[in-house]
Amino acid sequence: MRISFLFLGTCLWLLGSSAVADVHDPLDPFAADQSQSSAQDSDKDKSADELIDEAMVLFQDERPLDARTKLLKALARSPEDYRAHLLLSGYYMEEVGHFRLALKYVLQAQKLFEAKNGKPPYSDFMAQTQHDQILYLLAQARLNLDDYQGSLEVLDQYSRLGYYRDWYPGTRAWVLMKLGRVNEAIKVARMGILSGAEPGRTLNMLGILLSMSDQREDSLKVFKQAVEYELSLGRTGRPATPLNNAGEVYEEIFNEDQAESSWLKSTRLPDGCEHVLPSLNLTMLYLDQGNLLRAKQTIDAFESCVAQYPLRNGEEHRALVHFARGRIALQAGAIDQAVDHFEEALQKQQWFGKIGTSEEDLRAAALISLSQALRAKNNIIATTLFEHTSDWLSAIKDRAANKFRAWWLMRRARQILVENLSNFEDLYVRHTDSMLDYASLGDVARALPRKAFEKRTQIETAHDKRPASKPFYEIYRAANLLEHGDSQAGAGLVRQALSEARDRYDDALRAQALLLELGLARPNSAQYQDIAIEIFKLSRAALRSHGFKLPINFSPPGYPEVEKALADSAFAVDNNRSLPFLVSARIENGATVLRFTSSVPGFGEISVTAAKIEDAVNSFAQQVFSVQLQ
Amino acid sequence: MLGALRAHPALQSAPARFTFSTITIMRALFAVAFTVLANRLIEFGTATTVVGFCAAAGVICGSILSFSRLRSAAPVLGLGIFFLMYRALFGLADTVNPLSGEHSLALFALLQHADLAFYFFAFFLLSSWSFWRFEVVCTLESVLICAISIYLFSGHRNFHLDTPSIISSMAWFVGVEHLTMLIMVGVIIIALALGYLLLATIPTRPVARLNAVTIRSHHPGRNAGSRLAAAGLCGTVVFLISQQIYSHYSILVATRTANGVGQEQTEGISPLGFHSALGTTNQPSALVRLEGDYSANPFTPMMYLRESALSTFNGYEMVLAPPEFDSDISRTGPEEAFTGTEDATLEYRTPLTQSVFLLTDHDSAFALDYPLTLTRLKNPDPSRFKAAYRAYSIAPAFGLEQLREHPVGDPRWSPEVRQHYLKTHTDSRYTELAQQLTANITDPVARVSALVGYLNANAIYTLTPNHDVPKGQDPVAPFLFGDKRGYCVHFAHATVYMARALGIPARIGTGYLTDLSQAKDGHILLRMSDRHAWAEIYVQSFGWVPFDTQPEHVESHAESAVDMKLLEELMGAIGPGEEILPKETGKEEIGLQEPRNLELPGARVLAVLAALALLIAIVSKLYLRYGWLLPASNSNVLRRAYRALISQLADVGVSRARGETRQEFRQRLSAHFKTPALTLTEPYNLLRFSKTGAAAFSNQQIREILKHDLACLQQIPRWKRLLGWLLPGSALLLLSRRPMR
Repeated sequence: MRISFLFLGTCLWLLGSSAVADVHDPLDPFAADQSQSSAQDSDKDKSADELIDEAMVLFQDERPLDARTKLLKALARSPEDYRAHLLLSGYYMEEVGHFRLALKYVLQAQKLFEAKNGKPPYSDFMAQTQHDQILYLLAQARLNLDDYQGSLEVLDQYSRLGYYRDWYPGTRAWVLMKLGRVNEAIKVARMGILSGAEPGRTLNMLGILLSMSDQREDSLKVFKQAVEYELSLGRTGRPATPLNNAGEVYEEIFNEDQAESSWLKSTRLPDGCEHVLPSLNLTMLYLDQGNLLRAKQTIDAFESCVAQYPLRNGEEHRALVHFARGRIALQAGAIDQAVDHFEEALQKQQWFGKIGTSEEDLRAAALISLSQALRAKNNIIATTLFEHTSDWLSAIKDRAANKFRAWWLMRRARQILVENLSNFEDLYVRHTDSMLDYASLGDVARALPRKAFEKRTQIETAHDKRPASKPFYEIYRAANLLEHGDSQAGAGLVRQALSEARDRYDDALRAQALLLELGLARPNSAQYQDIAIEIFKLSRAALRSHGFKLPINFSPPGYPEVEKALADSAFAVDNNRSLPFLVSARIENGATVLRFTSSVPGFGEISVTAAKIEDAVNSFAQQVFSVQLQ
Repeated sequence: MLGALRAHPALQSAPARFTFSTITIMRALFAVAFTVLANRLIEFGTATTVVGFCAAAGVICGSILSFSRLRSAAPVLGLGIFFLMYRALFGLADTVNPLSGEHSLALFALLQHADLAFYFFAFFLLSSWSFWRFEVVCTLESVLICAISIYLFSGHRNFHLDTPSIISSMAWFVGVEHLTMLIMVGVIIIALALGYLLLATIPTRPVARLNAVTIRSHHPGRNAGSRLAAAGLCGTVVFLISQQIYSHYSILVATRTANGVGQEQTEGISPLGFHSALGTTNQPSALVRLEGDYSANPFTPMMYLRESALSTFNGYEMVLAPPEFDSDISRTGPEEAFTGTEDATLEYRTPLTQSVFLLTDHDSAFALDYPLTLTRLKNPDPSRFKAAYRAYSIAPAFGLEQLREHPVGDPRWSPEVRQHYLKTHTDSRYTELAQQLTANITDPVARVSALVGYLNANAIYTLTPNHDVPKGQDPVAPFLFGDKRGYCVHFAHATVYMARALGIPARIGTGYLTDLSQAKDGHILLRMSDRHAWAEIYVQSFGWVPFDTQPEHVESHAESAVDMKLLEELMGAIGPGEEILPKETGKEEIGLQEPRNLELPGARVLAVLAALALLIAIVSKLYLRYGWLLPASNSNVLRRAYRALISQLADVGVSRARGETRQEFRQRLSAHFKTPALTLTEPYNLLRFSKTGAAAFSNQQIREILKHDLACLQQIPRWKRLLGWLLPGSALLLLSRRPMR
């Protein structure tokens, strides 16, 4: 019995062995693969050294995957060889962008290197060179994984050991900036420029640092040098980046014309369309000026430009493009589109942003915009006419859901701004790293505690010497005061802001100020009508999106049903006073025809025909309160 | 505190108390689970632990309150008053905000957290309170739980039930199928809901209303009405949720699905579906690792991974041919080995090895273009991967422009084989259209390009073509000669029919079309939505070459970005990568630490909270015991003195029973101590119930009586008194032991 069990066991073992004989372990791909061609088999008899040498040649030939396979085989032959680890770390850092793996490989490389050569310092030149490379990868990997302190420690060690390469000043300055040690970073960057280390990158870095430390004039000079340097490099130069950064500084000092010029140049350069930022900045600038068509054209141009690069999936741009498109749609009155874009922007990962931007900057901005869009959507639903009770019930449900969501999103945005973004540092108007829509930031300020917000604003106004930023702070304060019931003080600030806001450049801000003022006016009063007309001239969508009605004259008088429907919608009919907007109605073949005319130039004529009054009025309102950007 | 509960008639029996405790614990656990889940969905911005704690506290307080003296509307009023008070406090704090300007908004941040915690506390307090007060709430809650569960699961990752998220992560962790995990979770939820319903409706379930039974027996109509109202409410909720799911699902299913390409590998059968692209999902199906560079890829950035080819025309569609045709197709399962014959006449090809790790079951292996060998690999993680194999292919390395002016077909083919690849549709319209489109072109490759160009420019890609074609009839004609709306299957068939009509050997390739720009480190994550069918033409010396369409007009398609997090996770699972590194590598590195999903408060926070609670307890205890020493009016001194006595007694476990008067309690104690005890009862009763109050007693007299009473308490064993001293929660104990009146 015992023998038979042993025999059975042996048979099973043999059977098992034969069964797995053709099964290859994927964790050991370096073993000779008999099924492969002779070319693949040729690695079978190679030593680890040979494989590493071949991998280095393959890297030079831009065949990184072949090189990776060779290195993995080399590691399987000689797991203690630090060179393979080091090369793999470089591969994952530079080619793949898998920083965790890069860090793990370089840590192992460091351990093996020190086991072989002892602790630094090294007297041997080769050992120094390789240790220099290890420290470089270690610093870069930690930097990319947001371990700035860890990265700085490596850079300190690098410096202590007397190593120096061109990448060092730029990297050190960047790490110091991330740690908030801006003045030190400036010194390091200046030293780097003096020593000629990667001038383009370091000049750009210095420009950013100077802008962060309020030395904007110097910053612009440095960016100018950076642009000149990059242009001098010819085809290999990348002047779009410093040009974009210069534009951001110009924007911050309210020199919009120069900012526009910088960004336009940046977008037209060959390397300009590789990055979304100049286009995004330009779009936002046009939005501030209420120029929706140019805003749309700018972002369209970017997308058609980036489409030339078939190898790029555009993932790094999507969040920002959706955000920009959402803001355009919101101002153009295409609220559903705006909501979709903002939802997309929130779901995408942002890879990079403006100077110093963190993911939270975009998140806060997108949350605020989405909340505003949902509120606008609710206001539109409130002025939509329904034929069936079921539609009306469904609208009530949608409004409740939108209202709750809008409240929640705005609450989250406030929380992020206060807690995650250094006590609402973005309150400083046109803060370099911010993606906020400064014209409508009053929506955020509204619900903040009155005194606390007053104190916080005072800090900004005390330090902010830019005259053009003043009306912005006044509007934020006004929104906050009005929310807390102090309408007198709030109205005073609104009037002050309106008198200080600049024509064209601050049109979006003026519209916001007028909306606050409109909220204080008695409905259908002459004051209400004047303000509403002014807002409508500045922004077609704003009135309806904020729940206000457009004052109109209606003719002829024989259509009380249509007149009532218009009054239930987003129009305030008043035939006692001559107004610049006239809606006329007639019935043609049983269908309702509505026509909008205006004595104000640039509004054109809108005509809508529908079988039912409700459909006609809804469609009419949509067309009157939106801008066609096609 | 539980003493007060025990005093309630509904909680007199042990089973009732057991049911009460069990349900309360279950509800508290549910509240915590709900909080964690809600945080994952909408991200509170406040530590989940704090919110969860408040939710659980709300449940416990609500349950206790419903059986306490404050069982009526007091919780609602109390919460309202509390909320107003604390908002007023914040308003006051804002007015005298001591924080500097830069940090002045920190107060607001605190308010936001406090608000959220309060909302959760209040919500769960009220729900628990009403649960014990009104029987119908139990049913309502159960229905709501089920409805929310259905809604959440339906909305799981945009209705992709098996793509990685919470369920998928759990499935990975446990090592079971996504669907199995989903079913398991569903079963657990239903079981819990049923258990909860069962517990909540068993006869021993206590009801907080003292006259609940009376109401039920004497007013059946009122009861039936409330049940009807609850049922109506539940029905409305379920209806609204179902409607929401349906509308959401119909849109998503119509736009986010694979392309009508199945896996059927039976001769004479087509794996392709014409009627609808619905039915499959965007789930990950395989991970492919390129073991070398493929820079010569003529289709960059796309890559075709062929699984099968359809070259037999059966009269109305293309189907799998017998084995004597399409010998380049492996026709093997992923677990089998395959060795093909290298066609030496093929030029411009490069060897490329791929490792394939299947995440879902596949009937047959797929690989890049011509696989020469397929070798089984050891499955690196059977809980995640179905199978693994390595393919060695000779992949195209030519430019598409090189194909121009080359003859099509293989001169070695027999007339039967050639005829096989040329057999086309009998509908003459295909030939007419093909000839019309290529009237002035002679080069066969250019002619096929013209056909593809025509489809690109004129047809619309949609996943919902909605052609009503009876079985056995041509499903391509309504596409090509009709509204020109279709998906890859329609485009591929139309190209093949027209190419064959022009005498060009063609077939349909099926498998995956993937975008290499979404690959990482040579690793490609294939999804079901990458499944594809395309037309192939045999070009002499080049072999079968894909001629795929890229329609300019796209109505709906299954595009979605690859989940890079999952890709990285899988890359780590298949190795070699991190596996060859020692486990301890980078253990202490900040950047290598995975972010924790659940935030737990640090030891310091817990210590501060505990210290705060202890401080409050100690201060209140001291006040209870020695408050009478503080200067006050006679009546207040009397009140405090009596409270001090009662508190000390409560600390050692002696308190008034339910219905027992103070006088009776005094007598009971006196009998126990065999000496007059609690003699302060008489002046205290006078204070409470007589008009003159305790005016007859001076401050001095009260203190004298108290001293006497305290001396009586010395009879209590010393260890008991010591324990009573150490007990921190005297105030709570005292409050909870106050009998119901």
